[in-house]
Amino acid sequence: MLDLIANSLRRTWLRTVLMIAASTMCFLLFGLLGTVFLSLNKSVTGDDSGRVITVNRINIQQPLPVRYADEIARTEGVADVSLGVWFGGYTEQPGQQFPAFPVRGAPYLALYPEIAVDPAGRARWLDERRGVLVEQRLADEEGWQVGDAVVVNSLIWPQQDGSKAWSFTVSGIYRDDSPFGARTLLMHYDAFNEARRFGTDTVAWLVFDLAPGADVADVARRIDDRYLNSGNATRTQSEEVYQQAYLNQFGNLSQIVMILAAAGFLTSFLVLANAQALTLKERARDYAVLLTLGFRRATLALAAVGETLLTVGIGAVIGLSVAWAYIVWQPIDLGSFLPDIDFHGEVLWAALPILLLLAVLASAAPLASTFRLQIMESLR
Amino acid sequence: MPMAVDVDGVSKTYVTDGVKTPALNAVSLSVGEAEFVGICGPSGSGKSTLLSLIGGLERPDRGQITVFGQDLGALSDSQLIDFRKRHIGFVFQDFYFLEVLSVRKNVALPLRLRRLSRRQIRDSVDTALDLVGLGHVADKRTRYLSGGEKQRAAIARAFIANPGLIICDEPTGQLDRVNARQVLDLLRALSDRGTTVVMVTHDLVAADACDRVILLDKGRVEPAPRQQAHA
Ligand SMILES: Nc1ncnc2c1ncn2[C@@H]1O[C@H](COP(=O)(O)OP(=O)(O)OP(=O)(O)O)[C@@H](O)[C@H]1O
Ligand SMILES: [Mg+2]
Repeated sequence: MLDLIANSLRRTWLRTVLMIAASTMCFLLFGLLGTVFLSLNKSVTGDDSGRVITVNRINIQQPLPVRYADEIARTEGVADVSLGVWFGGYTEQPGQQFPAFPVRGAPYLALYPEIAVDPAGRARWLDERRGVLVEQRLADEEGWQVGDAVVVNSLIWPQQDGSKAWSFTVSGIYRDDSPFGARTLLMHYDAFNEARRFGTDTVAWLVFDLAPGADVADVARRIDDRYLNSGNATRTQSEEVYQQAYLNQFGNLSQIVMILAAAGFLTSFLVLANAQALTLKERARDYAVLLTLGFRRATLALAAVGETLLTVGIGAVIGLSVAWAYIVWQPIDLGSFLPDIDFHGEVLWAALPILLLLAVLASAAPLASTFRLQIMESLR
Repeated sequence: MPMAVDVDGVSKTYVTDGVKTPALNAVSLSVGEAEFVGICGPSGSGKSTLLSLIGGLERPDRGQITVFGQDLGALSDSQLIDFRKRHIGFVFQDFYFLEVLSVRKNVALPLRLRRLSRRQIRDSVDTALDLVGLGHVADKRTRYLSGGEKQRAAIARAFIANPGLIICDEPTGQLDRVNARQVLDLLRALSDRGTTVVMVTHDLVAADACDRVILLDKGRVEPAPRQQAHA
């Protein structure tokens, strides 16, 4: 059996190499795109935080008045309320942003228990008006220590004097392993609000917890109804739905990713099928000889599938390894406001059925010939 | 004498693209055990067709073919494959090897279908290759053999599993006199060992090597076949 496979593979190196290359491309694409896809979906479906987000109804880039925070806090069914603003922080290159947010400190930390900060750091931050809390990976990148005076540039906000370079003190360093948590930075809204030149008393979003027993839909309707005719109408939804909407800004990435992956698969399949077709005639002759010698058709069929499986499998191993290496050594940066991309084990599992499908589809033609072949016609 | 091959009233017509080509027309003949029979006739007279029917590669439209007492028509496709595996060896004019495999591996193919150890297979192959004088090229790829070497390798492949019947379609057609002689001697030796050999040939020298020659013309057996006693 192995000899049959070896014979077929070595008969035409070009075809074999072509097949491995096609399958490598397929799985490289699959590995990369699958990872992106999973990361996107994970960040949305991954945590059921129970948090609710209120944003401007028109779109999530429009601001809301900060007074909404207090009004919403008084709404029945609402617990801690915080707020957030996009700061657009960077240190050196504007292209290398990290997610920095002016927030209301105490309720924010209550709302996001995944922000793991030591009590001393927490206390210090809540005390320091110009203090920032820095996620560990960002602190490591910038080489910041607690107590350092640091400058963070804003892409968006000038201060009263026109300068967009904001000075802070690092009050504490925390770890946040949630999908959107890496490399974040938190500052105090009140200090930020007073210092900025325009946009005073506005926020980008409000975030709150529900009181026990409260229903998202019900609370959301009451809030949104109240502001419906206010000039700053709101949209209130669970954090998951909000994140999905947020990601949808980027042109429904998941769908694009899926389409790309499907296109990659189809292309690889066409190349594979074509490569198989190239050698169908020679293959038929070999099969005819083997049938004459007393080999069973099932054996030949198995060899045909095994051969394709082997080539596609080799390609899969190469492709997925390269994808993995790429993601590990050269993290994909989809912009600082998208979740981190990690290589997921699920990608490998998902690759398995794809591998089988590709192999079976690509071996369809030789397979058919093992069963239909007439010995004498093939030997002519 | 018990018959190795019995062909009784066999007809075969090929239909391709709606065109009917009668290849064999009510052919009857028999071949005794250990007999070395030649089948001669002009091109297109149905010689290859007859061989493929006897070898169970195709089925006749009409008539019956019995090989070693087994009516081939009574066998299913997979039984037929099995029967071929156990009783029949083939030598084609065009050799037909798995080209990138070594001579050794090609010759070993029929043994792969049996429950034999690697060692047993290796020993048998070595013996067979020595017998056909190819021991020195055992590990060469068949693609690089000369015509005569290829044909001897093909014969080794045909007899390695000890089939009772060996069928050859113009085994000397592409060979020079010396090589043809070697091939004929091999077939003769097999026949002397008790193997039945049916060989199609154009070649008078080859026909001469046979115990008996059956003449085929336009799909029919010629009424007066040339008899020839062999020493
Ligand atoms: N698979 C096939 N399809 C259609 N016609 C065929 C097929 N095989 C053989 N024939 C026809 O049947 C007839 C007998 O063919 P066959 O190959 O048996 O002749 P042959 O005696 O072996 O000739 P040659 O000496 O040239 O090899 C020929 O007319 C040939 O064209
Ligand atoms: Mg012929």
